[in-house]
Amino acid sequence: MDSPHAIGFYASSAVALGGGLVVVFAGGRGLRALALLISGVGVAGVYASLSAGFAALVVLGSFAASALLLARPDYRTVMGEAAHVWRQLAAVGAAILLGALAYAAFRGDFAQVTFNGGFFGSAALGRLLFARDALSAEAVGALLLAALVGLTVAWRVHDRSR
Amino acid sequence: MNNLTTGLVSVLFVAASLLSIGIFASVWRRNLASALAGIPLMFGGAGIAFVGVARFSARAAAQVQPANGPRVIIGVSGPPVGQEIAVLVAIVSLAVVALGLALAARAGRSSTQESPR
Repeated sequence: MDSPHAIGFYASSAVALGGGLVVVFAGGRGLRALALLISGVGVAGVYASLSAGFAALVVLGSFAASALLLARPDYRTVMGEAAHVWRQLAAVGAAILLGALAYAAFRGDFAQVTFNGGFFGSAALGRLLFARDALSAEAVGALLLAALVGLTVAWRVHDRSR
Repeated sequence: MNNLTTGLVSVLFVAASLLSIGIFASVWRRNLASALAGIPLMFGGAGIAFVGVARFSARAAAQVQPANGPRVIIGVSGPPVGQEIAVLVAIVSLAVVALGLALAARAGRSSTQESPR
């Protein structure tokens, strides 16, 4: 990976991780959604610096849609029932997981080759998604359709009950 | 001047960090809508790992033997399966957020019906 790609990778990584931290600690709904969108821009930049331009566009759209859904102002607040100590234990577990994954990555002895798939890769991805793995692509599309239909129905009932 | 480079280890560090931040966001926030904001971060971290592995690892090695020369082994990249999985993971992430918000809307409605104020 040459220097411009490496600079783009590190800058995008900083944006993604910084946005993620703001998502964790931000108080307001709008700020949290904006931070999620910024984090999505960073993740898309990481994808693009790794020669996955088409996947970068898809993940940017996914983050933007998630941010728009989460920014909707008329949710009722649903609070989790887990006790504070359990949430603290889960947070410690997340930290332990980070340490374990980082150690595994550090100790990994990875082979590296020159990638010759091009920057965007949409043709190769299209062949995979719509020819070789068409069933999995259709399953994921059906899942997304069912989720959006469920969300729409839930919101319509929610609006009617107000 | 040294060139700035990166490798699979850096990519996996970033992926692990984003995954952990997403898990932390999901378990730390009590409000369900806030906790759902960690889902795209988690799935994004997993996608980065898939894309990184697809970018930095060879999936096949072609053996080329000229008519009158030694056999040469060339590493070639196979189909970008990691990028494909990253695309599918991003779509699943959006579906999970939508389903979670639908469940949150239902839960809010039923709890309001159970205890009207």
